[in-house]
Amino acid sequence: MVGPVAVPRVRVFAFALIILVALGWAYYFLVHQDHALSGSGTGTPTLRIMTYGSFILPSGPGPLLQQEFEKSCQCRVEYVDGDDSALFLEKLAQFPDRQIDLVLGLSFIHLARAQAKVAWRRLKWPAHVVWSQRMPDLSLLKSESSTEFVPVAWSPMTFIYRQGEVTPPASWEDLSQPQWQKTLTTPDPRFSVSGVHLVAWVFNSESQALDEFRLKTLQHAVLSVAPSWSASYGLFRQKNAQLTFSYATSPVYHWQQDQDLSYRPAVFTEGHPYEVELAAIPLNCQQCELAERFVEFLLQATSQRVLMEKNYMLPVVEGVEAGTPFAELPKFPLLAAGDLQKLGADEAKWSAEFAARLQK
Amino acid sequence: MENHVRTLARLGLGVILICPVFAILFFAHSWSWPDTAALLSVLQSTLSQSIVSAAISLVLGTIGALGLLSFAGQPRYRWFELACLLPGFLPPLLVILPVFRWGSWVGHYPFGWHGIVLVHSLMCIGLVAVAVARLIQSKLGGMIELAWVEGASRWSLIRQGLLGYLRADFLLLGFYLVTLCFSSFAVPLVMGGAQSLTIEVLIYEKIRQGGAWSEAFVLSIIQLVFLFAFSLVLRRGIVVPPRGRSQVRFLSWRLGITVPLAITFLVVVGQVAGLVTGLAQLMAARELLLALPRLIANTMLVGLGAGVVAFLLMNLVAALSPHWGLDRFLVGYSSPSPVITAFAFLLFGFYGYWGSHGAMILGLSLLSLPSLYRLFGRAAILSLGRQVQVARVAGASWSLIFRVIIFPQVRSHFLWLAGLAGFWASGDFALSSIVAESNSTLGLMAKAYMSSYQLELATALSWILLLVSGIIFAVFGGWAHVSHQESYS
Repeated sequence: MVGPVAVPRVRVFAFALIILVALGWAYYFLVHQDHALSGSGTGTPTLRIMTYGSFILPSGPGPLLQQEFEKSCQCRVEYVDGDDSALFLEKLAQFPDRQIDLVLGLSFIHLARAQAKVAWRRLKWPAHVVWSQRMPDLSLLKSESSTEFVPVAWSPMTFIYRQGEVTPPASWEDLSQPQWQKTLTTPDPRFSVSGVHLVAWVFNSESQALDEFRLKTLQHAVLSVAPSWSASYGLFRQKNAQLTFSYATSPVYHWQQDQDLSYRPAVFTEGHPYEVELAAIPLNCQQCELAERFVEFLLQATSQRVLMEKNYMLPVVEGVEAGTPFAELPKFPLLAAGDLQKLGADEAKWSAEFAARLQK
Repeated sequence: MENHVRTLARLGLGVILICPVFAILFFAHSWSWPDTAALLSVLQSTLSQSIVSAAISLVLGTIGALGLLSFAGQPRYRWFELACLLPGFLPPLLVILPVFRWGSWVGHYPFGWHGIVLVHSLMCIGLVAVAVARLIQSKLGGMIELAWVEGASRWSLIRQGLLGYLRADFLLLGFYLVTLCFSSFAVPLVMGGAQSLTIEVLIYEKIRQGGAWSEAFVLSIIQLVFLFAFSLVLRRGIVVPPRGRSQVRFLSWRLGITVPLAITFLVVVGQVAGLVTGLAQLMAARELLLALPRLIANTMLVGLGAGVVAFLLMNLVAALSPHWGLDRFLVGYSSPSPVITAFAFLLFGFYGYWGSHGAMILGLSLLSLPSLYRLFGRAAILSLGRQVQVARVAGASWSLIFRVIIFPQVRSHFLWLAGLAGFWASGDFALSSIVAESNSTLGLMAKAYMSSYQLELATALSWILLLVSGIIFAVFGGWAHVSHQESYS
């Protein structure tokens, strides 16, 4: 008969102690977290903002903006990570009972889909704002004196290169030259919003023949289609690619954080696509007034500066970038907003076509 | 009465495991069928990468097993086993990142079909080495000893013993690997590039691009049916037995261990690149340092919680066994896509801090259950079949059998499995990023940093994640060890 044996008591005691300490410690932080989320039972209204993960990083713009806004609103701001713009819409459409008062970081390219899938509250167009002159004309967002979507940050999209390593291409014609064969990394448009902008650029020329030429150019230039912006940009940073498709503002990160001035955005003669981050309030919001106040707050110069410096995007308000490295970025010819938005409506079709062609 | 309850419980377990797929029906407002040509092409690439990954893993894993056997009976054997298993249970991202780093070193990134096969093989070879070594010890041990004494060469031992007697086991192990690679999500997503879509990735694409839920549903059903039909063709499932004590050194080949250990070494060392810069950035990031205790606590909550739920689920399966239908279901069942599982939890109202973490714990333990059962748990349950049969004949009730016969014998084994589930769950970001309301765990925070420009900081966080995952595994491992010593002499 096999009988139980005595386990050394010291070992059992030590093991139990470790478990107790770990559980106690975890309990302390979790209870602390729960109190923080429930507003410590003070009845303070909570503004729930759906946004993307890097916005709410400790080093991102989210925490600073939250702190500043809470000083004056007598409310709590709570961020909800919605993953990215495409999934924001899916979550809002499928789970309308989930309290979301404001969506922040909706991509301009998803505008048609956003209008089709979710009902939005109409806001007064912020007529007092002096919009940045560098920004594309976004008047299509405005209907009479109201809007559903307010731009809060933007950036042209382009190819990034390192000065001294290559002479940058200045047009699609340049990019089709033999020296650019297998030199470019780009995010996959099927899984990354930034990749959709490249698709928009390819399929937004004046003719089908030109679309075809751009596709062929990419077939020749692309080294890798990565599933995310970070994987694509990471390959470029590790110097395995000479070009990457990213935000024109990306070099500023390297200028500031790495003191590396070699990172540069390529300026093409053809109009560039651009990302505009939008704020919008779902029609079923619960803290609608607070959400509107937060949108106004985002358009103030101080908030715009936080968004610019922490999120590495250009401000939408005139004068904010003056005297900063962002002012040193070149000016880009831009695509017409209507064309970009039209293409965004057929994103799935064009992205599939793009991916299929790059496989060949 | 007791039998009715058991039948209902079995049905309930089946429904819980299947329900995420049917939850999609709530999301689908209009119906469309995926493009047949595209579907066939995806099915072909999914199947081909799964079969080739499985074949490579089987061949190299068997070589690793021969190496592992040369340490049989030595105290360090368990450590070698753990080292072999590590790449298979690390979050896929921690295997993929080193592949990128080594790729950058040799100047070639293996994207596409080849990349998927490479990463799947890296993750499975150690797993196969451990499984095959155990099979050899338990099934061939005595025969090898006798054959060696009678003058058989190592080659004839391998040819006639290993490949002859264990052919069926190899086939089953191959099936397990094919199902693992067939339903893998993170690896094909990251390594696929513009090519080699798999069904799992296609499901994600359909949901992202305008919510083609009906197509996602059809794809999920096709995947489920495909794997289930595959499992029915094979008459029995893989049974990886506990370690044996036979003399198998005659068959062993010490150098073979270098295959799985080299993979573990490459994976671990690959995490070091960027670590120094990452740690420097971490030290300078005051806000992140302040958030670190909370991130660690949340990660431990998810890891420990998933481990506990996996332990309970495995015990539930053990309590409801032996049952041919349940066994067949668990052998043939493939977990639905993490994305679909995540949306199903949101549908059931898993919101807020506790809701989202509850969804992570339940979702990740449900996703890990089939793998835990197929590869390691089933053996422990089936080995008790005779004892259960005798006890039933003697008139014991099912609850008494579970309390007195099953639970004491499977407890420590299932605690190890719970440790593996907890280890894997703590680093997840596929399901977690959909249900999470904030970057509340180390894995999610690392993912968010990767999406900003601070890749090195993500590396530093990955190391902390590895440490926390190790602690979670150690908690269950320690518990299993104490429980094992309490039960047996």
